[in-house]
Amino acid sequence: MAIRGGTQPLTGTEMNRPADPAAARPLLSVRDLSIRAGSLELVRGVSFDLQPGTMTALVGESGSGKSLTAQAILGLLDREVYTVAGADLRFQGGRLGFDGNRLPKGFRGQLTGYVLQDPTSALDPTMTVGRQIAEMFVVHRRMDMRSALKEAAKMLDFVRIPNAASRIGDYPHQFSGGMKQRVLIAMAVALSPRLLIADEPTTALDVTVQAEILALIDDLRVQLDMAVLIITHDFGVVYQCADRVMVMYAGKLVEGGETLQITQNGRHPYTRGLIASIPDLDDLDRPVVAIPGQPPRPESSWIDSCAFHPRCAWKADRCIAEAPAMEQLDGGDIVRCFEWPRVVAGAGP
Amino acid sequence: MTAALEIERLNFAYSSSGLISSGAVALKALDNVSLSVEPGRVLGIVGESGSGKSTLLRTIVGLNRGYSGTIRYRGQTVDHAAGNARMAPFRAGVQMIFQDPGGSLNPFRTIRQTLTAALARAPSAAPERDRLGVLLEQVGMNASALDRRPCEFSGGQLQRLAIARALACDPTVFLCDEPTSALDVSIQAQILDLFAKLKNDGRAFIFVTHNLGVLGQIADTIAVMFRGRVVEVGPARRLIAEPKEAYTAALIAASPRLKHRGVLLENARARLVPRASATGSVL
Repeated sequence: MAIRGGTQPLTGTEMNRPADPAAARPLLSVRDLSIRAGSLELVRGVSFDLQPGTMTALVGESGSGKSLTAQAILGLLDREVYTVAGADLRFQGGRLGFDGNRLPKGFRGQLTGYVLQDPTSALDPTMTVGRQIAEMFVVHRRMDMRSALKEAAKMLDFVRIPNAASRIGDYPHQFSGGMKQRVLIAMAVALSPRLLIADEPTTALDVTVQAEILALIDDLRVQLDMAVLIITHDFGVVYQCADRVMVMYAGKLVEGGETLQITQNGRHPYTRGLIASIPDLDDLDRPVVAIPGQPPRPESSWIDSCAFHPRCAWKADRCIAEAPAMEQLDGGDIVRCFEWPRVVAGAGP
Repeated sequence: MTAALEIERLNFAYSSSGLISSGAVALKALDNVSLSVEPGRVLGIVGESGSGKSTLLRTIVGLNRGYSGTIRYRGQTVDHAAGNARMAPFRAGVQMIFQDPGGSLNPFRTIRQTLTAALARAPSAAPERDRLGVLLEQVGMNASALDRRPCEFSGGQLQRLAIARALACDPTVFLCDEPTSALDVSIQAQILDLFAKLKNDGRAFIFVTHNLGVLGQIADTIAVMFRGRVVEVGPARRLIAEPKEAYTAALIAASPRLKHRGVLLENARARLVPRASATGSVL
């Protein structure tokens, strides 16, 4: 198939180039990140940029490699299990290693914050929440505990925990799930990081609490001019909150771009399939359409074909014969699919 | 039509003592709950953590003793204290599907062993030939699964197998407790398709979830629970389009949706969303 007008094969540093050349330098650039565990290739050639002050969503199903990607950036992967290969990571223009030992001092904690899905297991049950937040100031700002606790109380108030000053002496079990997540967020943003990585921060919460936590994260993004990378499997959350979205399947990015474009006019059949499989409260007459089959297991070999082809209604012979490369489109969108023009043209599968 | 399952003024309280509170304090988990579901219909129950959704299902099947009120199965009052001879039709006829897809499958047993044991509880004694194959086909799997164990299947497949296990008892009523919440969305849609098929076969469902969108797809009637009470019940589409209770409206306002971009955060900032918790403590 000929390369279509307006598109070109993607090479290294051109990935996700901002549409406007005068746009700000990306806060974080990830190039060609691959993660292996033994002989298993779990993440392959992931490249993206995060712009300061924006919220980017990383979407995918279980096992697609989205959490591994986040942990690799933070240098949190266990090096006895995982090998990070071929990667170039730049933060504020400076080159970082993916090796946890070679991260600059303060990269975790000061420059980046990390919020996990399960607030209960992320907090130490034997320590008051005040001390857990205060540790950030003691370790990174060399404050004494007394002043650090004062800062901790300010942080609890900052994440809108009522009566913050009186709660710094409380233990995690005295907080509800949503309040515990606020405590974690307070720890993550205590030192005004440039980047917040939130891995399914609301999956364990009720919808009403989820909405509040998402609003809090979005407010903090604005107040601290902080980039947010939110990992989620919920396209509803993406649509409501994120400026940009990246879709991951079987260890590879398959599509990326501006949220409205991706959610309303996605090019990749997997993206479209994910959205079609969500029940739509605003349109109950639209039936949910399941994607048939299931994601490939990491041990299955998909190197020489599109990993999605067994589930894809648009698949052509070529999709089985070779793996599509990532294409860079106008406007900074990316897509990894031979057949996307047919998908976009609305030609039935 | 006789309701497949009917509950009337069901009350249940958990007694808590010791660690959290001094002295015994009764926590009212079900407060005068009355609901019913007909064959071939889906009654959806939505609510937040602690609203009593799961307690309701557990009380119906007899896992919570000491409740007051009446449970009727196909017109007959259920007495959980009765012997197995009298309770057998109820126990086979009301089957639960849990959130954890592997939860109802014994990890040490092959699928064949699990399904065979469940078939033995089915009311019809006449064993069809290849009943196991038919069961697996009904849930979109095939006989190659029979000699494997639960650890060899993905979450979506396990949920299909759990449904096959329940189907083996030829139930009248499925009680589903967040059956798709642990599954990826593309798999969730597959399982919803499967439930719709079983519903068309005339089976009744009580479907508990926190996801209103899922209920909008599958439920005929939705009951909204809040602190142990049913605060609103009505036809699914009407309830979603025109909620009568403020709490229902708040749940809808907090659901992430693919239209009206940004409205979720606006609603949250405007505090349109009240705070709920079973214990009554302010979060």
